[in-house]
Amino acid sequence: MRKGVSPAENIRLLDDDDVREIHNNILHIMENIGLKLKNDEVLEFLGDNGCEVDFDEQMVYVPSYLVEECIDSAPSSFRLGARDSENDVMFQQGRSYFCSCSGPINVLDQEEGFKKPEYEDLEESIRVGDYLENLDVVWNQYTLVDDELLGLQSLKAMLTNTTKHIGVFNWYGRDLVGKQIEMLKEVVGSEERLRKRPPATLYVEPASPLSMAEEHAEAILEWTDYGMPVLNFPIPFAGATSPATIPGSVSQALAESFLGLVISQLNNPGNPFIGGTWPFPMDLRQGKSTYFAAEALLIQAVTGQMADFYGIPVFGTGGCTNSYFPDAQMGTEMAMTLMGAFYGGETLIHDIGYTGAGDAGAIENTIYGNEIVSILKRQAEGVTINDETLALEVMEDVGPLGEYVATKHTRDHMEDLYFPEFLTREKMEEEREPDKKAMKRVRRKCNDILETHNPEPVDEETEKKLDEIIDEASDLA
Amino acid sequence: MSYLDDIKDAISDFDEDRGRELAEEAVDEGVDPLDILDVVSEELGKLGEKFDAGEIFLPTVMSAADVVKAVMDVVNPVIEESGGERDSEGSVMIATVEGDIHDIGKSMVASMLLSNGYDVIDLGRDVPNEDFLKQIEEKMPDAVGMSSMLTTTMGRQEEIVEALREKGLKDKIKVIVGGAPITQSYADEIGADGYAKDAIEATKTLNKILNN
Repeated sequence: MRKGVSPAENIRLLDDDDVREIHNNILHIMENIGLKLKNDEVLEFLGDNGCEVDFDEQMVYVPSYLVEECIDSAPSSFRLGARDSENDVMFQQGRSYFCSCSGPINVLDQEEGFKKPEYEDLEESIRVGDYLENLDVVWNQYTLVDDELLGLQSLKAMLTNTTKHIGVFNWYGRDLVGKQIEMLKEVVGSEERLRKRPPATLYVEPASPLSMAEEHAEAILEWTDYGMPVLNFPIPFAGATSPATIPGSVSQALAESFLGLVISQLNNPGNPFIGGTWPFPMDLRQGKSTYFAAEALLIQAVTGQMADFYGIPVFGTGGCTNSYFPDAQMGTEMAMTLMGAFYGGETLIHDIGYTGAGDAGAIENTIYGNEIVSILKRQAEGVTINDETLALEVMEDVGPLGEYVATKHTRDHMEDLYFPEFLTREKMEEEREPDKKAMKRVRRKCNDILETHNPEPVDEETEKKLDEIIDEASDLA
Repeated sequence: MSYLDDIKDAISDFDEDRGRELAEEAVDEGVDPLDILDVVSEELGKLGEKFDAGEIFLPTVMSAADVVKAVMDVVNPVIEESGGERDSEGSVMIATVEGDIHDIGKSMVASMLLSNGYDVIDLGRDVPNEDFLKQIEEKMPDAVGMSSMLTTTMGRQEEIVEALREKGLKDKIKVIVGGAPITQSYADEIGADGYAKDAIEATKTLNKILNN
């Protein structure tokens, strides 16, 4: 069972009044400004359940009491199932979990450069995700752009290449989500097991500002009919698609996210839900959307604190970079975004391995990110004060100019220390040896994983059924 | 349980006192000291291999080496008295040079050499040139190892090599050097026979220059 981890202390930037102000801001947005929802069926459903609806404008206004009810009914902890029950996740707000994510339309090999992904690349990225101990949830890291049934192909790649909980993108609305659910059912065996240990979380993304696309709204309804976890994560770029100020941007984002909360809870009270906020503002000098910003930690910490206030888990962002190279920018941005998300208290931290601001996925970066997470986990142990750790006796024994290496105290505690696999010291003598760079060690590790790690496959019969479902779905594309 | 098994246990328990006591008792009871030596060398050798492979940490090897040294201190004189011949890769005298109190790197090298079958005479740290040379002439080891961690003390290495040359010992005794500021080119410059950047490499270098 995977149980998550939390830092000894979270970074907290808001006092109680600040939290209340942001909360009221969110309620005000949802009740008075309203959100555009381009799906009449879902509008009707919301109207029947107490929301104010304007069909002409395709707007929904959610009364505050209803938002509060939905916040109360959403669980703060739930189980994420996995093909191997050892990999089930006891998922709860207040702890952090880590995952890769799908989306990029390029594969970035840190030495060979870009290429367009093929199905085998999806499989490789999933196998690496399956291997990395710190990834609790696995995603294929690329999108097959030319494949019209990409949602189903990706799902097959995940179901057959990892035994961990998986993330599923929604692309085409109710019908294709239905097919995705059929495939999941095929693998776990029955609808009951789908509900009890849901093997996948559905990712939907509202469009900022304040809008949700037709296919996303209905996908949430279809998916939550089965009680499976749904994640509604907006990507507002502060200064462009949300206010430039952090409290305003986070309020808007959470209102967008909470429209998904409301749909899921009204359809199936108590349905697992994950909210969240994108942490990187627009680069307004150049008009570019970025995957790093100085403000990220502030937004992550505010989001984490709101998650704490609501008792609702949030999708965090870290381990990504604007850089296309294995360079200083990559290392800095990956580490700082992971630290901000973790110390800020975000729950499911994704995008480990995104490069070039989302242009490409790089499994070498994912492997490197896994080590940064190990470091965070070591830091999460905090510091224990007692006579043993204060260590007066051993200091007395060793005395001035002595050494601690061969003492029992060192042996007793040496395994408390974490020794990185990649971030090591490599002595170089006459010249600098590029082969001793950390990312070279990562690359060798990557090759090693791909050569040796083969997760338990699904049986042939099941794989055949998956292919049949994909074939049947081809007329939906 | 035999004495030999108990001594192995003392090594895996890192119990220096027990190792020494057991060695004394075993010798008194007539256990062949060469057998004891075989056992402790083998145990330490196994740990050395695991350390090389990254499976265990340095403190484990160095703690075990402390027990092995304690056993050897009991056993070696007995072997010498009886005129016995023990298997050895060779003898190495090792020290951190004059003015330099850095001990750990040198001790690591000593432990690793011990675990690889060398007889190690560890003179400690901050060893004055004069004492060092006196000990060399007295014991005539196969090789001399010198460590310095400071740019201000690395010059002592050159002085020792020079003194060995003057005494006509340079061809008889191999010299290996190491320490933070030391490089292969410095080793070449002062006429050392070998250089090692860490404890693992020290054994390999020494094997090479002694043709083992």
